[in-house]
Amino acid sequence: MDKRLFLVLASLALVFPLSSGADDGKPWDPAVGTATITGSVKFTGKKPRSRPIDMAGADEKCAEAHGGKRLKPDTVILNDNGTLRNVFVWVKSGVEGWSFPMPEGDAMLDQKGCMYSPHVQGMRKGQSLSIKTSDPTAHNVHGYAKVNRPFNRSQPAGAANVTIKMKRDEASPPMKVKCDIHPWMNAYVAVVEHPYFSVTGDDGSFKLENLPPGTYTIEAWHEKYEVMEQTVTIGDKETKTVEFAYPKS
Amino acid sequence: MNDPQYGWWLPPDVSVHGADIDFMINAIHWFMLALFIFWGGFIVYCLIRFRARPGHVAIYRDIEAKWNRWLEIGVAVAETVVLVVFAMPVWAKIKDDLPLAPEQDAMVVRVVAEQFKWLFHYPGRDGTFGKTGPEFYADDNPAGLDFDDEAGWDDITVRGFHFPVDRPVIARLTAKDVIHSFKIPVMRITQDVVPGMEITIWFQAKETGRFQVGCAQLCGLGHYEMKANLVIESKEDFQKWLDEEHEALGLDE
Repeated sequence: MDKRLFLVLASLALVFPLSSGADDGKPWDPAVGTATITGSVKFTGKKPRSRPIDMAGADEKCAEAHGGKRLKPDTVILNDNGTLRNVFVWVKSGVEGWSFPMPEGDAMLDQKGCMYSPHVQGMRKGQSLSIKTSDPTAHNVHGYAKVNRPFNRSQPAGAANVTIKMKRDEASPPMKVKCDIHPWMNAYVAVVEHPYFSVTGDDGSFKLENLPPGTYTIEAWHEKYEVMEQTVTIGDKETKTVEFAYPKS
Repeated sequence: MNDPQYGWWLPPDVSVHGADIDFMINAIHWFMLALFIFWGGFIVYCLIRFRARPGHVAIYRDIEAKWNRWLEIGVAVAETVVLVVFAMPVWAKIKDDLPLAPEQDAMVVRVVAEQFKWLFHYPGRDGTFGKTGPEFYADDNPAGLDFDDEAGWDDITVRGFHFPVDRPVIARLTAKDVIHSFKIPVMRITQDVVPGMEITIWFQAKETGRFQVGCAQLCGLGHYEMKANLVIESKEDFQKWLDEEHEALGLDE
């Protein structure tokens, strides 16, 4: 080979390596995923006040879906057992080097009664977010992505789903989705490279299963409060509990 | 939301000051029509009368007739009259002559514009507005109320606009994001709403009915959806609505 051509190719190979690291880790081996991290997110502060949403003044079709009952904003939802709902808990670091199988189907975000459902969710990088409308009124989905490409789509009643492919990680903070027509509507979608994420539900608990043994940074994110982090080291077939408490005192 | 159909001419006028504005709009439009017909006819006449034909050459010189100058002065005077005699007094009445005297019993409402909806803020049963500020705006606090201020806790913040007939309404307009324009066609009110400013305007309705508030300043992609239901109702119905809204706050729970 020509000596100069060899030098050019060799330097190109250094600058643009064929395997781009994290994206093409070794294929996931389910046999090593034996460890589990569980826990819950407590709420220790004073219950924050909230005021009801008046949908009827802006759009009667939204209010009709709730039979005249006023909803409260879904920003801070406290569970009866003193825990906080809609906290996104995920493994921020420690699982690099694997290539995990993709889940089947799209992540779903529904617009029902002029509210987003679910309010907070996680999805995988490379997966598509499918935004559905179940309402008899027009919506406009506006994704305020900071890492992925932002989107802004009008969706009249009965329109087909709006499908957006999420190509990059965007979990800290998650992408905010808003409706431009109904300002009280908002949702958060976290895009993660691996399957280790969870959203606290009506019991405030989370579970990160099938982790390989190792040391992990666990992050908890809530739309109103500060981000929290904890480091956990976990052995083979072990289950460890991690507790978070909001708000930070 | 039912979009009212207003027909070909101006929408109905239910405001006390609206007749002055309608007079002005009508006068200006008829005046323009007269000017259009006269000058349109004159152009057609000139096209025929001064058409190019052999034996006639153009003259590159100003008109020397005296009546031409008087006509120009006349147009300027007419425009000044329209502005000074008709437009400015109406504007001054709405903008500067606020019904602030206690016997006028004006109702005060704070209006917050945001992309792409209106929000109407009433002082609630205590008659006092709670503390507000841009630092309090949040997803669960669209009115920007200080939640620690008890005076604001009974405030009513809604997306539709209700006000009573035959009573002056003072609207304090503010915007969260970009410039909007508060427009109630049936009230003959249009006022820009500017972030960082509070602009005050007043009006009074002489009839009840269900209408619409719109935005008259292109404010973004959702501008066409920036509207609110407007209900002008009797004193009793308005009080009933206020009581219902107060109930909906769930303060007694």
